Amino acid sequence: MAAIDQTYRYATPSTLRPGSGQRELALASDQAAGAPMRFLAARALFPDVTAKGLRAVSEIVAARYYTPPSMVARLLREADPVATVSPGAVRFEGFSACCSVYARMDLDDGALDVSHRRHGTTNVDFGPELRAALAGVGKDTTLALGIGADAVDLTRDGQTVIERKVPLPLRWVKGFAQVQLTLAGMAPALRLNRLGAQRFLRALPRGKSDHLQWVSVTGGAARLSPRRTQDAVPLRGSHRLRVMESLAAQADALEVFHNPQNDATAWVLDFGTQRLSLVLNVEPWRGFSGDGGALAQLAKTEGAASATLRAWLNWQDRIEVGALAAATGLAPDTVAPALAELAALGLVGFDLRQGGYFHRVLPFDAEQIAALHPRLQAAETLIAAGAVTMAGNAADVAGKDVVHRVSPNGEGWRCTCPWFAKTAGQRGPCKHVLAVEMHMERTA
Amino acid sequence: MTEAELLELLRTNRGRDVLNRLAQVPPAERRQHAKAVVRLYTDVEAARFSSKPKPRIRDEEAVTVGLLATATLSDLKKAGYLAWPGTVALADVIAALRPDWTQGFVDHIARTHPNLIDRLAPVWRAGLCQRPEGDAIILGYYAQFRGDGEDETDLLTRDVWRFFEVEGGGEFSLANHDKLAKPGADTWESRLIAYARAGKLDRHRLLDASLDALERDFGQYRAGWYSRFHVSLAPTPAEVTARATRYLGLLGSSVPPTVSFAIKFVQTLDKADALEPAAMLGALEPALQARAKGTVAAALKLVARAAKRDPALRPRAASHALLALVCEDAGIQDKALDLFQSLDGPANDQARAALGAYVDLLAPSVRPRTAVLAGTAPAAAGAPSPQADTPPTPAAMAPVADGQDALALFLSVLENPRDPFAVERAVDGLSRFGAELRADPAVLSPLRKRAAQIWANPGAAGIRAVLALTGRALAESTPIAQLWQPDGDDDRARALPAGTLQHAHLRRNAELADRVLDGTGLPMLSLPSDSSGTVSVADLHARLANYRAAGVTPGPVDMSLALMRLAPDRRGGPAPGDGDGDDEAARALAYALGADGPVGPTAELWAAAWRARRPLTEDMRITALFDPALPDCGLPIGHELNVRRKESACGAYFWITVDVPATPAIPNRADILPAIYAFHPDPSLPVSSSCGTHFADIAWASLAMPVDPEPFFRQGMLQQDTWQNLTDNPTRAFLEPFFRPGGGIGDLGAGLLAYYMACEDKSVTALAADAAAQALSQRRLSEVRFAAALAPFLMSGALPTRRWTKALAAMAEAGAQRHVCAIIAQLLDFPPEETPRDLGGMLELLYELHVAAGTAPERPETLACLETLPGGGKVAKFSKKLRAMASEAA
Repeated sequence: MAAIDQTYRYATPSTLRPGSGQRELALASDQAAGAPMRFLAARALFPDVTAKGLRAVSEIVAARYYTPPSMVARLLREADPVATVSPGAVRFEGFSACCSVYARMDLDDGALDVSHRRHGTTNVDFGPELRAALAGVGKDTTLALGIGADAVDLTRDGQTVIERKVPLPLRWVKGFAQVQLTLAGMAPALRLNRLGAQRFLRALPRGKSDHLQWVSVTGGAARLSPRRTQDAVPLRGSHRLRVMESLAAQADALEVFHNPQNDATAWVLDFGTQRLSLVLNVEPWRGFSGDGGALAQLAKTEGAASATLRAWLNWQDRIEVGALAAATGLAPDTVAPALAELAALGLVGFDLRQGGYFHRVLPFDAEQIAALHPRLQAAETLIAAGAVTMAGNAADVAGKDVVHRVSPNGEGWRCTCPWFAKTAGQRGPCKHVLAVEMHMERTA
Repeated sequence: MTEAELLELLRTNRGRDVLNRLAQVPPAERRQHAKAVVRLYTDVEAARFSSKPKPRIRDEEAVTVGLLATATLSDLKKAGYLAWPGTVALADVIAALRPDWTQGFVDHIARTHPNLIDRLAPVWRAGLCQRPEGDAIILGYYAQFRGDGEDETDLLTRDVWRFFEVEGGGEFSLANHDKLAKPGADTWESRLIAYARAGKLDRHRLLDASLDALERDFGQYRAGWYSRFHVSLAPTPAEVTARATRYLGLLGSSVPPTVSFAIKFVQTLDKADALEPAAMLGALEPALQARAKGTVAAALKLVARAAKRDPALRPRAASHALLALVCEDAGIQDKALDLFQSLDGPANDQARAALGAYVDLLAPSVRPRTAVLAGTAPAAAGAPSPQADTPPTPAAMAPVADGQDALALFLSVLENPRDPFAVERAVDGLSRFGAELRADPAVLSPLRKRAAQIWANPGAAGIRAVLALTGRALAESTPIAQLWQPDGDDDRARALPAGTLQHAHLRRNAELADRVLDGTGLPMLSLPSDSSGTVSVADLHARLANYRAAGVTPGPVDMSLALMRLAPDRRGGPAPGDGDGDDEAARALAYALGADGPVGPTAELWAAAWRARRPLTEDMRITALFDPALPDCGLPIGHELNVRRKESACGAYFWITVDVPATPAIPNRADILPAIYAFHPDPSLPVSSSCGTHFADIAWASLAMPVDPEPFFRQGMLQQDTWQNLTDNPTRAFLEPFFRPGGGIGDLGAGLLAYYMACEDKSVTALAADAAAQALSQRRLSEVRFAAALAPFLMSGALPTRRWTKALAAMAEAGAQRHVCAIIAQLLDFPPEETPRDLGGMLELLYELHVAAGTAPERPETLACLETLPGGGKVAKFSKKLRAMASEAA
């Protein structure tokens, strides 16, 4: 399993400590990237929802919904969630170990009484002890939320910095970039009010459920069907939504978004000023990282448009294509693909509520992500070997004992390789298509 | 000592002798030979689990001792197998060798194998290392480390309190330890209680620690140990009162049994007036929305008590009562409304408005009352119209357009052959364009490579092997007959035995491949014309004309399959017109359409033609073609459906047996198309069904006789195992025909639906319920026929009644409410002594559906049955309500 050695360095473990008249959630920030800094000091205005939401993100990060047979004895140590503090929101995001579920808790300014804010992205320590402590936060609890607050003092006092070296599977990191593109391709599909959401989540099987079902809404109630019905969204591995059940009672609504390209779905519990989003890949055994929707972007040499946008990014909560085009002088139809390129590099995330991107920099080495992608590497190898031969508007790609034909198919490409035959392009381009695209770009 | 001397020592001596010898060798000298010893050790271990030759070793323990004597900690971790001596104690080995990695090794073993910690204890007790700390040692206790004797002090002073902080997981948890303890053996629960009684552990601290653990929201299974432990400590009233706020806090737990646990203590506290009513009311909010009915009912009572004790809380309590309406149970919803009403909730505008939002989501019987309380107009009763009254129109199936499309589609179905229509289009594509594709070998190179790979390892689906062989034949320019040796004993041969549908599929593809290799591209005769799976008469005429024009004789299996798929129209109509030819295929088609010309000589072709005739009557000329005569080849067969409950000798276990014997009996498996379905599977054979055991195989088999799928449904009933729960249950493919355009459903189809609705596997049940709802709403299945098919299953008592109740509820949800009412009414027709168990749920469903539809039971037999139903509880309650409903309507 390809992995990146990620070392988390924390001055102290995150804690939920009792204070004078309040409980203080002190989330230790990762100092591996540089000097310790204090990102946030705030008071949660809806502490029970915030605590349960953070706990849900942490539970997802600690969960593995699919264990390949070869990995039964070697379970991954959990990776830490990523926190982003930006001018109008604080976001916590993470992946399940199997990479089939992406979780994000968005806290708008209306959910926090902020006394200190410094824009940035960091890993936060979020161990089982903290998860357990958060279970006891009620709506009458006064909850202070700090990210990185105590790190400076404690390290000055000569405390040992806590180091956790975690071999992050490459797919875990790649999934972060891929899922933003998946989110950007989603459209609203269903909406349930609080009671409907509660009923729906309670009715899901308690145990592991890998059967494909289709969810539709009739008369305010969700209906699960084994066959596709009109306006229904797919749901497989419904046990992945279980963390939402205890939160549904406090939500205003459950909104569901669907990406018709790859059938991924996003389930968003809306609390007004806070949102918990779970993005499910269509199959529990399928990680977002393998979908490869970002590959086409990663394969391109960075264009002038994305370079311009990169310079313009400054922790914006919402990046509007129109405003961005006006500010940068780029044509609007070049901004959207350039943003997708930046998403593939982990530089922007996508917010479904706003229907637009926001700036954040993943605390991982994005260059390493692109360099280690097997399909990209294989495409480079094919080009280096001179395997691509253009034949009119199609191309032949020579492999071992085989010549694959890559030919235009509607707006995309079709290939005769087994990967394409299995996925029909749903999980991104195959190495042959990538090689042809790269070849065409380089010889243009 | 040289490497050779060391290896010889390890090969020829016992472990103890090797240890004594190596203890004399300096560590640095021993370590030089680590690489060779690791290799030997790995070979010895690998031979245990594989067919690799076993190295000649006198005592395998000697090699393990050798490894421990030479390896570094890194070598030991990388060795892949746990290095653990057998008869020689680990502590003796370490004491003799004094390696510098002892602490690291012990910590590593403790972390990776907590179940071995008890065997590490002698090492630290001998002072050879420190005891491992952290969660590892606690997990060791959860495994089998007892921590008694000289370790007891550590257990009682430090470790035991960590039990309440370390949840564990997988096989290592307190819950698992105690659950799997042998009868009579100590459990941690009993040990800790004994320590508390003996004064060795602080009882108060144990009570608090167990509540601490429950507040951590551990997983439900593991949290259960802590609540059981707390109860086993039997806290006194004073102890409970002292922890009142803790119990109230636990009502908000996300673990349902913890909420149930807490509410019992809150009830106790409430009886003792030990709780402040406002605090109790505030804490009950999550319990009112719990999943367990009992918990919600208890919470509602406590809400009432709080309001009674402090009347100022009545408005708040009334609003709280509404939270319980999230419970799906009509009884609980009624209780919540009772409380809401008794607390003057309707007088509060805000509460009334809140109640209004619930109306449409409550049980039908509760809705009118809710609407009145909420001050909204009651919804008009009446079941919504069924989802569709007309069967869907068959969609025409377009053949692939060109060679590239044909190749792409074939490569696609080679990977995923679950859609039988796609498979048939793909094979038809090769039949049409295969000759053209063969002109450029490079074009077929992806097919050649992939087909060979799949053929080498086709997996469980016979159809993948068939398609791989077809692809190979085309890409390698070799007939299938030369590529496949049916006598082999590998997976491929087992997946394609004669007498199965996939074998017939292979024979058809072999005919097509032979023609393509001769350089002729023609359409496949058996390609379905539309989404019903049938071949239209016009299409078959046109395809046969193409064959005649090309001077090609149609393959008998392809033609047989085309006849078995022949659309049911134009039977008995005019004879084929001029130009249809007088070859055997044309004569067979004419016979299938009702003509009476000469038959033969190809027996299989004429059996298929006979099977396509309507009506199906015996034809001695066809039976004469077979020796011995075959059922369903000129001689119609009849089916019976036998459902029986079987019990174990002790009566503790029971199961269902379903048999569908055919008349006349089927003697042997036959490789003749119509007779393949008639085959009676022999469970002792590797492939027990003629349809195959993989989803894709069964789905393809569902297309072989789309006009009359009864024999296919028969195979489906014989193949079902109601207790099997699979991620991808292949038997769902037997339900495929119900979702295609088609005609009426017979007794076996109805039986299949009824049977499949009671499976353990929810994916099968849900699909069967959906299929039944659709078939009923499209009038392809009548309620009477369906109820008659369901009755023997229900009355057998071999499967839980609640499974059918749930499936019928799902059918109602899918829009078949009126049909479900009629079906249950038909089922209620048995003498009182034969009343099925757990009938209450079904009666409740019938009652709610009648309320929703504004109807009442009318059928006299149903009312008579309701009158005589024995027993109390739900059965009595709802039979009474249904009778009252009927009287009122009358």
